[in-house]
Amino acid sequence: MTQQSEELLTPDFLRKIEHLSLVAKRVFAGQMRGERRSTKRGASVEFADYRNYTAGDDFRRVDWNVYARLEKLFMKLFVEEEDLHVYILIDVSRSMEFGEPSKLLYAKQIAAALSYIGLCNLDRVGLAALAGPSISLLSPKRGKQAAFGVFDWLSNVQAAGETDLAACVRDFSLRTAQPGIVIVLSDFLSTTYQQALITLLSRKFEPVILHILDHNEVEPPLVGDLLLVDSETGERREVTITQTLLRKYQQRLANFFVEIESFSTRYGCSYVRVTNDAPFEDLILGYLRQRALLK
Amino acid sequence: MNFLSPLSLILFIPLGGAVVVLYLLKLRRKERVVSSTMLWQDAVADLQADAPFQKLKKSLLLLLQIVALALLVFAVARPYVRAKGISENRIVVILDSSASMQACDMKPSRFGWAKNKALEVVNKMGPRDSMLVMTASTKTRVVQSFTSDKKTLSSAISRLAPTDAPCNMRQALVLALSLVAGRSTAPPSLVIFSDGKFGSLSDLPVGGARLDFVKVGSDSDNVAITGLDSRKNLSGTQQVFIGLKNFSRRERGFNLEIYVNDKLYDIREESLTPGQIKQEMLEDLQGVGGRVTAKLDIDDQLAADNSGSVYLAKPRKIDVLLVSKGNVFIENALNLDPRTRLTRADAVPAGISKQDYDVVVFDRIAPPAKLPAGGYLLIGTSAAQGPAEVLGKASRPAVVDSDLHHPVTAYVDFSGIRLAEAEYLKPKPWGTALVEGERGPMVCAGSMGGRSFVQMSFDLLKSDFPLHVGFPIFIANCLDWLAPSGEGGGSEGARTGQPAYIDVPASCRKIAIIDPGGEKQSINVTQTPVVYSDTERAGVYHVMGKDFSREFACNLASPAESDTAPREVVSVGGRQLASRGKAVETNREMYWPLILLALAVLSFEWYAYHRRL
Repeated sequence: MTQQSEELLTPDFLRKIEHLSLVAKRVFAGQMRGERRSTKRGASVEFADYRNYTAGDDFRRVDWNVYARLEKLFMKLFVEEEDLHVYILIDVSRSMEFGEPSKLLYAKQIAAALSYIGLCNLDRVGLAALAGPSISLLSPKRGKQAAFGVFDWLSNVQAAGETDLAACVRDFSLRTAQPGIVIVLSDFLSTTYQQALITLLSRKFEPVILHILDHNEVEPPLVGDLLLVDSETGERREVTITQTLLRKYQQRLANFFVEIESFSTRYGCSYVRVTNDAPFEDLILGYLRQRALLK
Repeated sequence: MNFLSPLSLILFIPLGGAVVVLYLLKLRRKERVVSSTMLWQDAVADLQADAPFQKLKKSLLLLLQIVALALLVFAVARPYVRAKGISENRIVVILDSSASMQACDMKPSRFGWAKNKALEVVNKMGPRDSMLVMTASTKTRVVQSFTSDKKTLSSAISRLAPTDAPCNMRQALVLALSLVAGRSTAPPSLVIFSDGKFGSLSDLPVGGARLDFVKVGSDSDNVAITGLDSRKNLSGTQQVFIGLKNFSRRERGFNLEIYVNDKLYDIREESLTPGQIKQEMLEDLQGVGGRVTAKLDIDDQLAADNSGSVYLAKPRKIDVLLVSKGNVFIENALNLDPRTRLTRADAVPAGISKQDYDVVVFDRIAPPAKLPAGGYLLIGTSAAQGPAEVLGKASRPAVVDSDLHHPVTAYVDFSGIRLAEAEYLKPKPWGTALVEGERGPMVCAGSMGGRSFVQMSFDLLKSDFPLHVGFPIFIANCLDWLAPSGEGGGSEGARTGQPAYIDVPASCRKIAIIDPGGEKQSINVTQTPVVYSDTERAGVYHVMGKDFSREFACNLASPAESDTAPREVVSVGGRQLASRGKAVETNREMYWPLILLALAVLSFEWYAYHRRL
């Protein structure tokens, strides 16, 4: 494991999460045999259904016991187990650089952990860094050995530019044919996040929203006459921050949370909001399991 | 609410403008990079500004600063309200202490009531006020100079007592205005406690001083002796006139009691209708000398004018020494007066003294260089100690003018006199020219060092003056004026508040005067007659000296004071001052509360700024 990957996750922590697996609400069709139930019927040991025999079927799957009782040929169908596609989209806009630790580092750690969990479960894990209107894509990897590459790729991801979530997700969906779980790690400080999520839903992806915020964004330690500069756009705003103004900000933030949670509920998306002051290990081993995103 | 300095309100325009401009100017703010301003958009929508001058925003701090500034500018404009009590920087309280203030229509008296009101004013003084207390009767007295000590002021006011003298409010106001002039920029406040029994003072310039008049008194119920006088003629008959007036609104009946030397002489029953004036005359006083006292047996508001005294000279002989080589005219004129006891001498007798003769007449014979105290009539001669120096001779001078008001030349017509020759004189500073000729005075008179002189510069035998009707009158006038009035002399009683002239022997160097209240006062005699001015008590004053004792009386005899009806409005400095009644309203400055309020607002502004309300 490289030095850069060590910065993201420690070996001890990797051992702790090896037994975990990602939970998908829906069943997706995979590409290769794996450990996930597929929409296809296949050759696993788990019985799925019966169907009438038609000419040309494989005799080996005729249920002869039923034929003995009913004198009719029925084919036994078995559940196919295939691999699951897991995509992790990381918002790498400049706004993610904020916080201590930075939201981006926190997101990269989560991405690394989820990727490792996916790779350990023979899922196909692909990553994408959403920077600007385009994306930087790591094609889906499979198998535990691919973890090193994923970690290296994550380590090299740098914050840059302004994120247009809708454009990035549209680009991602066009370049990705196989549906699966899409875990979006972002602060969602973008006006186009709803459009982005709708794009994913329309392409049969299952979005999982991990909303990462800096605790200073939840409770800004700002006071006085300030000139606020937007880190992404450079937009400057003069404010005189008073108790009244802070109350207005809190109200606006609460409305923002309500809006994104309502959207998630309406479209059946999983939504998890975390702040970067929450211990990372507790998040993976505890909180995400409680929210049934991991098991 | 009014302002003492209303122009200061203009300051609010530039200062308020400056405060607003400071708000309009873009604030230099600390730069903070945040992840996104998206969440701040709603919150700062009404606060952002990109231009150098931003739009004026609703700001609690701006509002508080404007309010504080407005309060401070208001304070600088020195607002005041009319309020009960006094809150001026300089207050002068003038208490009328004239006789009418003794009227008892107010409890305990008008003066007592006024003192209580003045004490109320003292109690309502502000901490930075200072007060001066003065009384106004004939004399103006400053009883307490400017002080802020309420205890001292109260003590000074409590000690005050009214007098029996008339009121001279003009003098009091002039003194008060001169005392407060130029002490500070704030206009002084003068509060007059009076019944208004003083003349119009509308011509008195009062400048910016604020005047308050508090009427003291409610009604008039008084009967007074308004005049008391005596007269005698050459035959020695003496008459006493008593003037009475009813100032009340009802008919008053009373007894007029006449005392001569404290012995009841006569009682007359009187009845006066409202406003009625009556003159009573005592004519049968032949041979009576001494003090004649008139008293009204009546219960009215003012006691000081219910009695009065006048003195009648005892008829006595005037010892006259005529030093002349022969002059039948002067001899006959002197003998004509029944009071004279004439002695004639051809030359100046050795060692003439005052004890021997009351009047010495030098007719064309020069008197000795040093003359003792006494009266001297110089005819056609001069004396070194006389009232005039001889400048030169004039032939056939004509009389140009004569002083008809002087007792010596009163009732004497000099205009038709023809003179063969006369010397013209130059009066000394203490001498008075009585008859003026073409080239200068010809008759002079004067008193100095106990010696009284009448000096005629012409020889009677070289004129037709002895043939004129006025000649015996002139000689009688001279005897009256030159002869000491003697014990019980001075027929006219002095008025209260006016100086009394007391004749004392020339040898007397110190006298003691006991006033009607029993207070004794010692006076060193530096001149005769002695001028005594502490005559604010009506009644009899006793004068005592070495081998010498006499008395004189002071009477109120002032119709203005006896008319105790108070005036509602007085005229001072071109203003009509209506009485403030029982409450004195004055300017109460309000700047201290405004400054404190401004400080409170600024403190709240500071708190609001730091709490970011």
